[in-house]
Amino acid sequence: MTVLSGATWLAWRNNRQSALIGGILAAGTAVALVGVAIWEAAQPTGSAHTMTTVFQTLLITAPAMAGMFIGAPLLSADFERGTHLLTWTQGMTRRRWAAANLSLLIVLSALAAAVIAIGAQIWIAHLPNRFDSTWGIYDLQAPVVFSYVLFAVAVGAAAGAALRRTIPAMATTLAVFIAVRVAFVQLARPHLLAATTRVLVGGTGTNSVVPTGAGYFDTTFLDSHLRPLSPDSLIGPNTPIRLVYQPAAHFWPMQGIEAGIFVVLASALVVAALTFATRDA
Amino acid sequence: MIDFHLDSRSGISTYMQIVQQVQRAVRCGLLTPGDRLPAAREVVAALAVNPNTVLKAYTELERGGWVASRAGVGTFVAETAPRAVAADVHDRLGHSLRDWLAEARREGLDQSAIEALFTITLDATAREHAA
Amino acid sequence: MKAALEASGLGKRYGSTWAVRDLCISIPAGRVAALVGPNGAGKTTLLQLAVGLLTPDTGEPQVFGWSPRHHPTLVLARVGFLAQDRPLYRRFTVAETLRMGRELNPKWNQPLAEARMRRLEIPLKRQVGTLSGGQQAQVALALALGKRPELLLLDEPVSNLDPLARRLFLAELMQAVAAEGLTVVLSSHLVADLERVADHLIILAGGRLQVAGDLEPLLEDHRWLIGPREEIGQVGGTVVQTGTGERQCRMLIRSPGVSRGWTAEPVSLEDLVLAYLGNPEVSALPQPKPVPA
Repeated sequence: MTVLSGATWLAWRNNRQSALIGGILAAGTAVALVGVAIWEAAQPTGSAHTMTTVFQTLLITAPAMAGMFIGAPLLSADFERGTHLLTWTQGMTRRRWAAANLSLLIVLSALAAAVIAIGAQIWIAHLPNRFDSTWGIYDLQAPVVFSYVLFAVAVGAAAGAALRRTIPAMATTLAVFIAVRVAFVQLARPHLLAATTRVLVGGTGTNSVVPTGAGYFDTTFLDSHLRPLSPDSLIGPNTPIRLVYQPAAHFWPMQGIEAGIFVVLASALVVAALTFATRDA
Repeated sequence: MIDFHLDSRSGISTYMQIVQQVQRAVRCGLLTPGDRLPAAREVVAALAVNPNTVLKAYTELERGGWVASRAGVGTFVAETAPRAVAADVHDRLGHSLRDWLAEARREGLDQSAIEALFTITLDATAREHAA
Repeated sequence: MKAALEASGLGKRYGSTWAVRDLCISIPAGRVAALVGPNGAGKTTLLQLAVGLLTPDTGEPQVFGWSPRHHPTLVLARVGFLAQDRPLYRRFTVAETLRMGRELNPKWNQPLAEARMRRLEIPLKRQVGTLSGGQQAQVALALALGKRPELLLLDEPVSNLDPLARRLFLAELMQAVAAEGLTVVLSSHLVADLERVADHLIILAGGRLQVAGDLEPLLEDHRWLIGPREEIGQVGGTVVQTGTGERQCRMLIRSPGVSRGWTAEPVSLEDLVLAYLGNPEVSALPQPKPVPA
């Protein structure tokens, strides 16, 4: 390609195989998602949803796969082969070399992430009854899917630059990605926006008092003094219930905040990768 | 044109081997005054030796009157180079040397004894000649 | 004229082990310097320090007066480096490898590099991984020479090559020296090769400098002395190596004094290297210049 020059040409020429494979996989995933969604929507209502679990698994695992197979080997492969001794003794600085590789990674990953995310959103949107509630498929929505892919790829790049061996970098990427995602879901997500608290009386059971479209709810039975009842107390139709929940209106803002946090983390990791990558031979 | 070769086990330095090979070639008549020696660059390419070595050899040969260099043209065997031994003289001396060697072997001298005898006598006559 | 490579008190440490310690070297421009030493002596470390791949712990190498750490682009424009095992991108074609050189080096002579490949009959369209070891070495050399460096550092460039490939590689290298006045530092175990090409010698042992200097004066300054065993103490100069037989004694002496009754023989590079490697406590270093009064 004569369009590229300098360190960018080298970064492309070196990684074009994985770039093309990654691109084809991302495009293929998106096309499959959209294609299936359109086909399903054209079927008479009530037909089975095709391969929902398959696509769900695919979308959940895609970011980790991207991190392990695209992010981790980007820089570690050069170190393992010893070719960094070659590229670092030409005319450019190590920073230029690392920056060119990382820039290419970010741009192409963002593109692939966007394509997959949009495909996922279209797939979700086409059959509104596919899932019981939007909150149940929080992790498959476009904003967070986009940010997870970028984050995983950045973890991979940092691991590859720091460890400088591909297999350990891939293993570390997977472990770190899963650990951070699980920790975030458990500890951070419920608190991204302040939950609403209400005390209600009446209703036919806990589920009937939850407003439609709410998520992350927690119900506690209270006594007449509005203190939590002991577990073996009797409850009746007039027992007060304290309800803590995220209203439907919080869904997209929370998506945005979570996606934003993961993009910021990804940026920090890219800076870290740059520092690791330019350490001495 | 002379083809150089190097013997890495001879104990003689590279530049001296080049000098000696030129001298031998002139003495045997393989090189005559006016013949061109290979350019330093060609010798370097053929032998994979340090260019300074070749230059040093050529400089030594020039100092000894064996060769003369013309800037931009090349290095040539000089008119002042010792004349080659005539072919018949060469053959005659070669024959008597063979006879001498045959006699030495008959008397029981081995290769190193012959070399020792020759070297000692050569050095002795050289000293007498210089005196 | 600035020295091509110079260092004073150069040291590099890994944990508590010094790979290179207290190194004071000065390689004049235009030399072909042989870097010799046992494995682990610090040859690779020295070469990598000189090109800026490693950061020294003490001292600072200077390449034509520039420090590789503080002026990386200036130094990289002047220095070519060929790492051990000749790393190359094996899936690149020869043409793409040369292109890499062109893209990454401001001063690059593409016609010269291509002409060299044609002369050596290395096809430009072949993948580097499919070339023979000797051809790969030639490609790596062409890549290092393409930016017209003034100093070329080679870390065991001809190891694992058959004798013909070695000869061709060294011939190419020497032609570049002849054509451009290149300074070369090459490390190698193959002393026979070094004898043909080197005019400067550096021996490292245990990370320290053992021998340094122009080759011819070094060889001139050493002699094999053979003589009677009883008179061993009467020989002047520094003994590098001693070997005693039943009646005779053979010693390699540096700066021998007058020794009557002893037979003196010249010393070859191989003799010199083997003697010093076998006796690491002896050294032959240039004297420090006298301080002006």
